[in-house]
Amino acid sequence: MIHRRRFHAMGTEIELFVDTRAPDVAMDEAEREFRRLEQILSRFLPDSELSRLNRARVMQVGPELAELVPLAIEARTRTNGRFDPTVHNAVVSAGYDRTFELLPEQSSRPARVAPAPCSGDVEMNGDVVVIEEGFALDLGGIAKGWAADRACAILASAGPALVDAGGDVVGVGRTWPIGVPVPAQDITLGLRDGALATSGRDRRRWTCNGREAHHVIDPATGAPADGDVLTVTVAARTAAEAEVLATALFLSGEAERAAREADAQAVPAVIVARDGRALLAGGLA
Amino acid sequence: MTSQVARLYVFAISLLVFFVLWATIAAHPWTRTATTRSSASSRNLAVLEQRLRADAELIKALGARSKSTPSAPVVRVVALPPLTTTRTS
Repeated sequence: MIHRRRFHAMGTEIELFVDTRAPDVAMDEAEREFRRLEQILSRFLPDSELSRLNRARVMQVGPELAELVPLAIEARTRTNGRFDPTVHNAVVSAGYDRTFELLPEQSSRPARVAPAPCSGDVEMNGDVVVIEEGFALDLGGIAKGWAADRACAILASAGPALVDAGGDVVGVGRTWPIGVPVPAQDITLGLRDGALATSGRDRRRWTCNGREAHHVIDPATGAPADGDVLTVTVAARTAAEAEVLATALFLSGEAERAAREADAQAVPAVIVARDGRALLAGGLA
Repeated sequence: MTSQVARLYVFAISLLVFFVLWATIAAHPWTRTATTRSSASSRNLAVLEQRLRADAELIKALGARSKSTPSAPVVRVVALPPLTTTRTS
């Protein structure tokens, strides 16, 4: 029997599913893990370890950041800089300076003078993180995916499990049917032992002085990404990896180019263009 | 004679009092607080042990998953009603 639990953490709705007779202990542990990681990884909590690191720029970090920061650095190298953990100041400059629940849809903040720079240096010396002056880390997407991976591993100790962390979906132990929103007709993907993540400009967007802004920053410009891609959904081994790949494909700027890149990398992907076209790539058909 | 009987009584009562005191002292009634404290720390240790075991299980599960899961997950288009939906996160 599939049991379900829903709660709010990490600035989004989390849903846990587990196919077992006794779900409570695993569900409690998984929920506790999300809440624990939020206290460490949120950029919106002034006392989180990430916020303290961003203020200090050089700091010895705990095991979570010591694992996640190298993942983010590696992701930047792997995506040729499209995924960038140092977009923090650019995201804040674009108006995403508080949790999305608190962000007004219409902001009267003065328009930015210039986009904030990205691609700052980040180094790990043992468990000490060093951030270049003038930069700060935003681990938002990859942190949520990573937390979903960990929570799913906990749930899986009780039986086949699925975690949906605001769209970052991880499923193990059986084939889980997951919907992918597409304008013409939604697609359902059967997911087993892997993860799905979606990057896009259809949600988490706002208007700042009459200009539409969204949360996906192009590190090349330091501003919200432009282009004809509406959303990219990617399947990968883990949700953290899917988050990185979805962002990288979204930042290709063109739906057809994103599909070609997904094919070349054999990354299963559903790409939706702003005109409503849906492209299946990377072996999906 | 009377005095001898009285002395015997006094001796017997003294002996009884001595053994009662001995038994009382041997029971260490004053160590109850320390035992309670020790039980509390034992409980804390048990909780910590449980937590460490859970963490170890988690690390083992994550390690096993990263080794056993192929580089690409099994994913295909299916004709089933979705349980949940991925969306921009």
